[in-house]
Amino acid sequence: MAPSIISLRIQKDNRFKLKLWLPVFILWPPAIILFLMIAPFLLIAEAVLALRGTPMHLFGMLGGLVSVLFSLRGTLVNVKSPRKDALVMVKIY
Amino acid sequence: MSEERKRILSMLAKGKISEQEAEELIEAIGNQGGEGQGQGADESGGAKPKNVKYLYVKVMSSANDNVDVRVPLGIIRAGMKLTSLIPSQAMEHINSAMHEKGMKFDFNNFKPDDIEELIKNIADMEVNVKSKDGDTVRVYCG
Repeated sequence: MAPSIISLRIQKDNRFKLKLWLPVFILWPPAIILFLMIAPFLLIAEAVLALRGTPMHLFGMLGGLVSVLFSLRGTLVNVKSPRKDALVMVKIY
Repeated sequence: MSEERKRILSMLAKGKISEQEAEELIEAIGNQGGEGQGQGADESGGAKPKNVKYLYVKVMSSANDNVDVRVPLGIIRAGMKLTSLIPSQAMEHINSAMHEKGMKFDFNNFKPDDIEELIKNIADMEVNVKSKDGDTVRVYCG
């Protein structure tokens, strides 16, 4: 399943506080449209590369990259230092 | 996307709940899913292989500084599948470069079954490091 939200929290010395909630699910529909737009060019590029004797699976690579991106869901990075009063937190939902 | 998740996101979009509340609700849904899987494994009497989903790295210093990292194991599967798409010419370069550095890997020999076996066996892996100063590092899957 695609990541839907990225939550980012950075805090330092009680002076600097950043709390971001990025709704990445908004990006998926435009990404699908973009893919449909570039798909014919990818097909042509794949055919040209195959004719030149250096075949590359561009669609497969794109699919692979998307699956890496999709598998990022559930990632959590949490760094806390009460001594320095610092916090960095990244969560991908 | 599950129904519950969609409902939470629409409530958030409509301003019915705060970001913090949405975060907590989504986390609660995730936990419920995890508990359900765990119960399934118990019912089978432990015969089923562990359904591990994440690799955890926890670092705790004596000064109370903490680092918690949780990486989904699915990324290993996805990353290894990506290597199978690398053109053969490039793969030869990678393999020879690895050999030069003393790592005798041959990525051509990696098969999807090997990856599944690797992920299955990684479930029992646990690394515990404790220093004299009281710093600890723990790497495990769950």
